[in-house]
Amino acid sequence: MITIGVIGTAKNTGKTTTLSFLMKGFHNSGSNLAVTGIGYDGEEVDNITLLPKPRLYFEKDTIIATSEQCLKNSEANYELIAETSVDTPLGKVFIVRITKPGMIVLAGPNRMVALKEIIELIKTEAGCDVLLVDGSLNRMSPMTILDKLVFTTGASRSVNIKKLANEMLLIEKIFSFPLTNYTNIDPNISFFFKVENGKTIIKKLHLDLNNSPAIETQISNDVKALYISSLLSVQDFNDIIKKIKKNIGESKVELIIHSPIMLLLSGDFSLISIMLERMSYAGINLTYLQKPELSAVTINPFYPKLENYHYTPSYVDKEAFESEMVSVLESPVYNIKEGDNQKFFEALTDY
Amino acid sequence: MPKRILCVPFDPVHDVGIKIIRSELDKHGHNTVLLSPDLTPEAVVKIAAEGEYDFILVSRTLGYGVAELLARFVDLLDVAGVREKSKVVIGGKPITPELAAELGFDKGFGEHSTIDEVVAYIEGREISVTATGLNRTKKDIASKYDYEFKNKEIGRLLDSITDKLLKWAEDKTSPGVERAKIQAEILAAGNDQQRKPLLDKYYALCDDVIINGNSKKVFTKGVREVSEKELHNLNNFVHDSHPINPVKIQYNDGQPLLFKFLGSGCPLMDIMHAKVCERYGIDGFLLINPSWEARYEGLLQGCLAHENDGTITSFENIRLMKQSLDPSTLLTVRAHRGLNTPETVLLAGEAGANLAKINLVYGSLGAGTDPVRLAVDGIEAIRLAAKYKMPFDIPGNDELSGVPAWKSLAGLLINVMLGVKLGAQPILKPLFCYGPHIVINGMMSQNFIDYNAAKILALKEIVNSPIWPGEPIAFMTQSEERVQSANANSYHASLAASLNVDAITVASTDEAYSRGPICITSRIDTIRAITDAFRFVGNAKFEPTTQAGLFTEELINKITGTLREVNSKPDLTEAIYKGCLGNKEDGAYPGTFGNGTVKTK
Repeated sequence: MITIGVIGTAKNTGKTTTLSFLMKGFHNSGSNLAVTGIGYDGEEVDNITLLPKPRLYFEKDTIIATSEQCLKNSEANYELIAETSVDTPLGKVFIVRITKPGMIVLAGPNRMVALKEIIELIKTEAGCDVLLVDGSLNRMSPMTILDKLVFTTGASRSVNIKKLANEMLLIEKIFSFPLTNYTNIDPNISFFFKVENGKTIIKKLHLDLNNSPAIETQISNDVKALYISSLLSVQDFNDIIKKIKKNIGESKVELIIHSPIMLLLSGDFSLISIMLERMSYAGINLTYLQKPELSAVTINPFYPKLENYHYTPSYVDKEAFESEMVSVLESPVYNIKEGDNQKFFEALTDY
Repeated sequence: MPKRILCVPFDPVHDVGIKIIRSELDKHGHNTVLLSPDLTPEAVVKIAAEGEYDFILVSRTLGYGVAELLARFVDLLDVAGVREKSKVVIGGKPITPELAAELGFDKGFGEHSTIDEVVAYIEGREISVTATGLNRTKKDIASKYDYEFKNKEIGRLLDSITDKLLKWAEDKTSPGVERAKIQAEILAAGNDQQRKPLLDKYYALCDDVIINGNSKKVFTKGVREVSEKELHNLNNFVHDSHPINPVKIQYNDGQPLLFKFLGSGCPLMDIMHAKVCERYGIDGFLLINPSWEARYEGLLQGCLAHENDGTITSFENIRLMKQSLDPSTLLTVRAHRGLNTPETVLLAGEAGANLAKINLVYGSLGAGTDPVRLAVDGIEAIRLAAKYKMPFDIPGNDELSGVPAWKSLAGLLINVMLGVKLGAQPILKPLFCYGPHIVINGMMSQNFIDYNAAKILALKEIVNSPIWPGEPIAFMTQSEERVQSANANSYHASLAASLNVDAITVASTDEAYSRGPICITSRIDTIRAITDAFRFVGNAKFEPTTQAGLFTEELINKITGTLREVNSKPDLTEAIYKGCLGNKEDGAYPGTFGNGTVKTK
């Protein structure tokens, strides 16, 4: 089963529209489709801006994982496939098969471990080909364990088109770093790899970021790679880069972190960008233990404009937006509501 | 077993909620750590990751961009592995379960959550927060009063006026009185065979509009039958809508009950509004009928919707409304307007309504009904109110036409004495607002307190009777601005509470400016404003100035003078025609509906 997530850079960037497009495409292609979400999506009116939202319509035989309250209020009929141990503010998550099509709100597992449980259950109990995972706001941590990602961005995040393109370019760059070739790494423990007597050995890395000499005393120029398991801020990354560079001189070293999402969460995009340049200059090659593929980017010119304490629907120039994104990014860019989106669907089904 | 809890106030100003919750958790023996409000999300995540906490409680108000900030915080906790060992909970006024799910939290507590619910969640206990019902008992407005006239002269005058009126009416009847008798038989009839001849007798006393509506289902413009499906859906709605954490309006038992009008034209919309108002603590409703209903002899039957102001007071509509309301919610039905007063009281009584609205004087002077007709009908209506043990409320809204307060109050007192003699429980409803006569003559030029207070104080000096200012309070002090209107209502309500009255009728903030059916949010505006005002005033009082005492004395003197004048006439109807209780100069005109229809038995 392939797993595809839809991540937004902010609210109202088109996650639901993208998900609906993908659901329709997979349904039409005859795939055994499953859908869940890491937040709350498909409601009539936005919880924060109170503006109308696109809703989620599920065809017959679609497998969905959503919470008890959402099922209770759904207009679709369904049969129970499995009860999960995952709890949400809207009750326990259930896996069901749609028997009569209709609207349902998605509120599924909202953390990584819980999503993992849902994926395993769908695999074993429902035998699906594809699982689509709907994002929520700008949330992304549970998406780490998926195969492919679609990023949605739009004017809701910023009305500055160039800024949006540059942010997406940075995200693309973050996802472009490779997976590490080192194997058998325990993701919960920090290590470093060094060559001694022609052999690569692994040693535990004592990482106390508040105690600055600690890393310096462990890293020497024969260190080939280090894996840091904990969450790092941009400032932490900068400190590590400085200390490593000081010790390894002109040698190259591989810095392994868990996933690109950990990097995305490390701080402000502009600071991450500068830090990555510093890392490259220092001869540090960034790799990941786990990485979903960034498959496509969708764009949304809509944004809720705040005027007189009320939000009103507004738009940036859609042609200028698309043109800027296409010229800057290598990833395929689509405006789901316009143009030829068949290619978008094909980009996601080349597995 | 004590839990370890990290309390995170992500907001330097609005952190009082989490401090209160922390204090409560400490009292329950849990180990809490309260962070300072100026930490970054990253710093909080580090503390959470390094510590061993069962729960991370986050408090934060929502503003633009805060949702994204909280979502990122949740992500940071997830990738830092905190969510595998700690439950992450958000609290704040705008938080709903849906929003908590969207932001990625394990649980959310909002404005309507209680501290008990938070503590129960932390301790893993189930707590019931649904289907609590209103959990209140039906209030009795009238029973504690003995109707003793403390002002003996006024008592004597009223005794004489009402004696003469009852004697005058003894040998008289009207189509309205006769229809009520037939209607009672129709309702008691066991089958269609028994009903048919009674209906024929009934229709013989009705106007064609009513006959066509009832027998051929051809209705006047804008009237239609409510469908079975609509009734089914309504029934489901009412059955499923159990209030969660219902609000109580009164802060202490001495504060007045709150009533609102219903009369959108659609009984279903009325009920939907009523159910929401019930949750906000409203004590009762006044069902207001369409103005055209007053002009016709006879009443329409069935569950009927009317696409204009006023809900049709058919037996079925009143019953539907009463059955949909909580048993503790009081319903009064306007009866005194027009040609169907006794029949409306009968139907209200049969349908289970709690009160009826009758004023012989105002119904004749401000509501268009012929004084002779309404005197005959009104007496019968009061008898029926007594039979069904329904107190009747007497609105002094003739004052809105420009009638001076003392004449209006004299009219109310005549109804009170009449009610007492007929074995009913009358309720005085003086106008409690900026009435036209007061505007013109400047009685409220210094403040809105003294003259309103004087009316209540005067009535209390005259008779020991329930008092329920209306109708609605604050009339003519409201503007198109909702906040202003809500404030105006809350001030009047606070004054009413200070004067220890029994109930008040309250408008919505858009009552005068809705340009159509009033909206539910506007109804809630005034309820919430008054709830807050009652909490604010508590057992303190608005203090009238010494001018109120002078106004009170003047009112009692002028009421006495008015009643002397009324008593000098052969009967009440003659006094009304002669303008003793309001004349053309005041803006009051005797009505003409039903003129010439009263007959000798």
